[in-house]
Amino acid sequence: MPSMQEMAMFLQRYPQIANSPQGQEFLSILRSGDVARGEQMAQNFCSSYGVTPQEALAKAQQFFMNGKNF
Amino acid sequence: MNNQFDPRMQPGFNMSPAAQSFQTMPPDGRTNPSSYIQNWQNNMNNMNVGNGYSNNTMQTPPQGMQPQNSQPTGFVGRYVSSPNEIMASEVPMDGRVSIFPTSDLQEVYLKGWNSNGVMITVKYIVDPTWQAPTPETPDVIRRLENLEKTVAANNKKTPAKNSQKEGNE
Repeated sequence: MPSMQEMAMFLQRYPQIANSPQGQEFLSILRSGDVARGEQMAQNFCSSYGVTPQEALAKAQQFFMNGKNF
Repeated sequence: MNNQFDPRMQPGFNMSPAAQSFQTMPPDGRTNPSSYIQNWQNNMNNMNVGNGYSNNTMQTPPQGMQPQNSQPTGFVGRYVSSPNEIMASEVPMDGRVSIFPTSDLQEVYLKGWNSNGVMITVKYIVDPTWQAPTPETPDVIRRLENLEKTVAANNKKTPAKNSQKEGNE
């Protein structure tokens, strides 16, 4: 698996991520390696979308396996 | 031995063509991280990235290209009969705020994401006692007319003074 720094370097090339406030915060978390902040952000997203972390994980796996959108 | 859960090893696992190159990486994934990232980049280019509110395909900019700082423009939103029907996926994560007026225009909901992934909702309620201010155009025109008269009166006086001065010299 790539490191968090490598992930940040890769993701920051996407304008959709680099230009959005949430993407910038996510990149900041990746660069700092602050796992607690990342977990809090993930929980916030799950709460806003009305899904449990387990459901979100299942959807993410479904996305990467079948290419289906959320 | 690595006992971690790996969905690729589960029975019935079917990987999308776009994601199949994930399988080409070694199990530990650390022997060549750059090739793994390259595979992922290819996947992202082939994949329809699910952002929930559009079918935009992420395009990877060329190497070394800086992200553009252009802000998306335009409003996002629709009429709703109830705020409960607003889905989180209808609010873009590009800094814009979505506008959801109720169909009877009695309430307006603004929704946006903060940077920590929390959905912020602002509710506006129509105040029935409030009235739109009437245009003050007639008053402005009356004041302009008064000003015009004053200026015209001054212009009539000024040439006489000038001619008197010229006569004295």
